[in-house]
Amino acid sequence: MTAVATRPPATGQAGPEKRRTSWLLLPAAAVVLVFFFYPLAVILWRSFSEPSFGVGNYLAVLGDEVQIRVMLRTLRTALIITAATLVIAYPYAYAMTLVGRRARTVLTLLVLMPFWTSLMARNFAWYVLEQRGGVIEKALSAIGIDGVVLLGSVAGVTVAMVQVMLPFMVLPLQSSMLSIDRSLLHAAGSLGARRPVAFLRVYVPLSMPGVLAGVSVVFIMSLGFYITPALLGTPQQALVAQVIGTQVNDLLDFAGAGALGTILLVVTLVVLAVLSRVAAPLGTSAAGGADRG
Amino acid sequence: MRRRIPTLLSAALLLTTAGCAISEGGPNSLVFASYGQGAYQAGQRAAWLDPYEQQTGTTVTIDGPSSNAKLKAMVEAGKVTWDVVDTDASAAAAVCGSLLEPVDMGAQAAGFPEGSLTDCGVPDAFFGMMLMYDSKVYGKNPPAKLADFFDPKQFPGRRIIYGGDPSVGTIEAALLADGVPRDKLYPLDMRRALRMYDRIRPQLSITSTYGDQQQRMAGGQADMALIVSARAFSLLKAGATNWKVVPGIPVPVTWDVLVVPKGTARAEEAKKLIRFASQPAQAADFAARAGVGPANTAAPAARSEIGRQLDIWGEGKEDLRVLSNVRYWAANRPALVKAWSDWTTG
Repeated sequence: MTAVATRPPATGQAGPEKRRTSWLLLPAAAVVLVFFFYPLAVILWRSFSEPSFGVGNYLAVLGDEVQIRVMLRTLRTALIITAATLVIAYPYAYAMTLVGRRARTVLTLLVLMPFWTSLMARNFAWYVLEQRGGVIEKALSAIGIDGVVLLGSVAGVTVAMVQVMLPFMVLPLQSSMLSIDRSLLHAAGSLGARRPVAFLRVYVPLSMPGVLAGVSVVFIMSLGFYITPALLGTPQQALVAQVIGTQVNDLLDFAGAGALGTILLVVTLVVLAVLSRVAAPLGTSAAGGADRG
Repeated sequence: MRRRIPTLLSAALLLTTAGCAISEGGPNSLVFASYGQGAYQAGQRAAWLDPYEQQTGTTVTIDGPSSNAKLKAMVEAGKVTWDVVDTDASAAAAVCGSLLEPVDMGAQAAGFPEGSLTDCGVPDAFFGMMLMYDSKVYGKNPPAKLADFFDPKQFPGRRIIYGGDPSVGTIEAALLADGVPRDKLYPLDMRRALRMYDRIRPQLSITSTYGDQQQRMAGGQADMALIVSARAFSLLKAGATNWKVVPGIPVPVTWDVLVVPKGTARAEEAKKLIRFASQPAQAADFAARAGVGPANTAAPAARSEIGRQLDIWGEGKEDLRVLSNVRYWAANRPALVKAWSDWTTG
């Protein structure tokens, strides 16, 4: 729960205490084992064993033009969502580190508010906003852009998903930024760097652990998102989770859906691996990164 | 704050897992799985389940929504908590014997329309695929035939269909609109049907749930629709009176069936409930409440004004009804659904 650490992590936690409390992880590990790894193993097994042993299901997915197109669409959408979330969250998180305590509480509350609202309620709110004759279309036509109906389009799904994902970007960013020593900026200034240069060359690199944490969480969650695209999008712009849904619900093809799911998982793991590769050198240069929360 | 998060999480987990354990009834109780809320399930409760409870003393619990995937998972896991399930006829026919118990209807079998009763699936509700339009949009020049739905030049406007399952008449409607005679529909020419939908692709919205379709029609997000009669009934009942049914055109007809999952401990009780629900009086009562065609043709249906518009069994409608070939759909379902979902997502 990196995301919840709003204060800089307490430094110098003693080793023995860690050892003494590590058994607390056991229930969590048991839950993950039973409710995550076991079903995952079953899905994997079925994807290789039904209807006959082998990699038939995987070849079917990889040889299917539509499935590949959906997969690429999903990756592209997740990428756009991640980028948009980062662009919005970065200045917001930065502002959170500058303002006083009270204002920060307000900003934190604003970020956390979506967490406390039901996902369905939020999706239906977007549904109403994005539909024809809705607030968004009316507001845009008031400034001369007519006929923008976001409901049932990738753009509409993206807007709603960015809102859902914002807290997952803001919180790691902010926790990483809080640990940056701002006197480094003054030091850069005293050495002749103008403020934008100091910000770009000193502050931004130091905030990279937070950026990477946020980016990986948001990107990976976006890859498997189901409800928002199902409600606000259409089958015409289906993302991979919906295709898996069709295979399970309409075709009862658990093995084929398992294969598609496994491919999604592998893609996710590859993304994670790449990101952690990038993050490894950064983690040491920025003291007290987000991963310490 | 940080300390409390794990506690909160584990509490939430406990609550959700506790919720999963749906009460499994004893010998004097049955679990009936059907779709969502609304007129359909409320009608089943009032027309079948309440009287059945009173007559037999068996408690019937409603669970839902009905899901073929969940049914399959239950049977395969050997932990069946549903005793009677309402599902679509072709999906049921496809898994008859492997996931479903055969149900012998005895003399009652004669009451069902020809070809609608299969070994495992007992029809309980018939749906027509209706062509509807927004009268505020089309005014004096409303669409009058199925082909008008596929003609965006003469009839501009946004179309909406339910895309989750093509076996509900979506394909048949396109072929009928293209002039395929009703007795030559099967085997379905899927490519020809998709070519019809190609014509209106820019104007077409496809929803993945019926509820969404209803919602968008009521909210003025579409001007013309192909919609199953039970949903049209709910829509009109909810007051969307600007929507009108195009009368006198061919109507593809599909139906839902009641099935008994393999492995339920109360299979005999479940079949008793199905036989009870299939009696003329019960069938007619449900049909009137839910706006569906009664499953039992011996049933005299009392119809509301809205019900009459959507009625598929009424006088003079024999030549308009096009009953789905359930056995063809059951045998070809994977290929057809694949072709359809490739077209929609492609």
